[in-house]
Amino acid sequence: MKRTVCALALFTCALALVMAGGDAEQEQSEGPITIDYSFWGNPVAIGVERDIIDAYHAMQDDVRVAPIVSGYSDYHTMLLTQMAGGSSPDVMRIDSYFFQDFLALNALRTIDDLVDRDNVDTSVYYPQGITENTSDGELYGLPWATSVLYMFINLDVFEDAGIPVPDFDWTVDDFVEIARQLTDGDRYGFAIGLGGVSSILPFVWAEGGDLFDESRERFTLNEPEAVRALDRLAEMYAEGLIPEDSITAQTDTLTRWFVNGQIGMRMGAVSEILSTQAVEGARFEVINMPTGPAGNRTTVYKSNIVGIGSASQNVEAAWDFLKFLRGPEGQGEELYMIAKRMSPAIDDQRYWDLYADPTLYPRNVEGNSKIIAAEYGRLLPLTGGWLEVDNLVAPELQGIVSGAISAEDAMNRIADDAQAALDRAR
Amino acid sequence: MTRRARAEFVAALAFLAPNLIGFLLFLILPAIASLAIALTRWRLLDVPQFVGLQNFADLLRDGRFWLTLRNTAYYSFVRVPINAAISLALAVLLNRKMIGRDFFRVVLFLPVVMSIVATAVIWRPLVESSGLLNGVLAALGLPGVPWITSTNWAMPTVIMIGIWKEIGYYMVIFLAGLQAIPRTYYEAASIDGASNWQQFTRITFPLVSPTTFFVLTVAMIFSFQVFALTTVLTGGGPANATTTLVMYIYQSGFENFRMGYASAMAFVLFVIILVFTLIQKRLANRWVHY
Repeated sequence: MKRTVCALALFTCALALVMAGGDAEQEQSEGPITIDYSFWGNPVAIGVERDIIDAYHAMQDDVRVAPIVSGYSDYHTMLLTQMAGGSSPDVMRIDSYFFQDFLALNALRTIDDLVDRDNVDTSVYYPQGITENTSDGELYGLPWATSVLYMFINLDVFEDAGIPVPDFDWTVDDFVEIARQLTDGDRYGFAIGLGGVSSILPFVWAEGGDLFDESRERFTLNEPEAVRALDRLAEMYAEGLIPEDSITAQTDTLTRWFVNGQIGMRMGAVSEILSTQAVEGARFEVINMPTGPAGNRTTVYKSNIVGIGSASQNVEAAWDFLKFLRGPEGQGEELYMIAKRMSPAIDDQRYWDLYADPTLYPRNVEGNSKIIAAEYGRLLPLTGGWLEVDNLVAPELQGIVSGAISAEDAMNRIADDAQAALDRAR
Repeated sequence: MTRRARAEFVAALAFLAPNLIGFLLFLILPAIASLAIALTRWRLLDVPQFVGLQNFADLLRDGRFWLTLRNTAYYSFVRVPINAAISLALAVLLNRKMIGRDFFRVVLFLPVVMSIVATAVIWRPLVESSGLLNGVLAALGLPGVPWITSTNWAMPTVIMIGIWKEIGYYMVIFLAGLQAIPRTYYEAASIDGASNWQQFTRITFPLVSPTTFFVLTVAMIFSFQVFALTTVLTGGGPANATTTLVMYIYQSGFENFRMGYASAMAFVLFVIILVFTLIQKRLANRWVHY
């Protein structure tokens, strides 16, 4: 028995020594610096990132990039736990919804000093992308996927109903009428996912309302203009212009309905262009969201951030990779465009030529995107606490469109909690 | 303690050490840490601020906490007894000699090895308004059911899918329990003229009661922690009708950055599960026969 105990103790000690020795060896070794790069994506997207990392490795020998990837739904949780565990990635992508909250957690370092030192020309990016990467006048990253939340038009459904593709100045009234004309039996005019506030803001903006006031410090979705817009959506739902299942439908479901011709119109991000194109025979166009009495800028325009972790011990290496990945002189944007992962964040025709293929639907994506960005796009009023407010609003939207509660009652019911979330985040 | 006993104790400890260390590091310490975090205001990356019992006081005033607790209780107390009853019935059926017995055992167990996400993705088109289930109802001349779009129907639908997913697991446990019952009891009962129902109520049910107790206890613990199925299938909708307590804990911690508040909820959930498990154990003395 004694021998067994001794053997176990010796084994444990040996294991500990081997592990300690391994660490020591790693610390003493010389060679390329390894940096961690976190991003989200599906298997196709991971392939694109792999190509970019390979191209970066082929270009130089001093820095190696270790990819850390997760699906979008778990990604920011993974990032947070990585940071809390003291293993913050050197370079990380952050969805703009999380940007202000991550900044409040001191997750990112400003890159102003690096941009100035290396004379990186940030004026080449679409200005909305730079705005969404900036806080209190300081730049925290370079834009990724600066793009529009489009209205997708199913050309087969429209042609079948004898309706032309709407022009840019179409209004919410036109939209409702078109949805009415498209609706026929099992076919519906429009579908909308109600999992977040971004999907309803175009309609709220069209009526002159907003989620927050101009200072982004006060919750305003319970004000009359916003309530009117929500009531209108509920009326469309009650009239049967929107499928009943829209209430809990997720993106993949909307894509399935759209390509099957069950709906004529849907809202969708640039990533859904790629997934819709993947369906053989899908004919569709992307346009702006309907305008309204309050103005033309009713289409959500958003970007994301790729920045350097504030805890990074390899800032120079991280910056070098970031410039390659997202900088105007790097190859990253070009590789993203070739893979059609997203539309250009840099205002350069050469990237549009790579991204927009006139033989593929949507055939007017370049022209329409540029017009929407210039005349119809609007940035979300992103601020700290956005997600908490979003989590409060989304279930109420489901209650409103299903007729379980009026828009006014629903928004008033959560107004105090939403305001408390905003106050807490400041 | 003699030298021999001490040596055996040390040896036993050494053999248990890997498990004990894991248990301490990954279960006991996090549980204690969770309670400590529940007494703080912590946004995960900043320095926690001690707030005493404030998070627990906030819970009492939080309507969403009570709503999600109610949803979780609804899910657990409806699902667990039905799940156990159907699993037992199937186990009894598939414990008999019948054609295709192994095939049915495999088929019923298949959903258990399927991932929750795949389960939700498969079921989603079936329970849509124009899905297969409503198609079958229409063929029978019955009206369609708003399976996941109605606040009244969404939770029963989730329960139905949850039962479908787990039924094979509990059925296998019941099968193991049934096969431990000596055949001679049934033979004697048959000779005495006992009907099938009498054999079930007088022999099977009492002798399988330890298994039933295990199934009820484990299923209740798992049910209180339901998260993935509701997250993927309904996202907690419509209108929070299927948002469970663990979903709200996740939201509070990782989306609202309120780790202290989320930990307070997690601790309350721990206490609830503990209390119900103790109650079940206490009541077990009345109906479980070892």
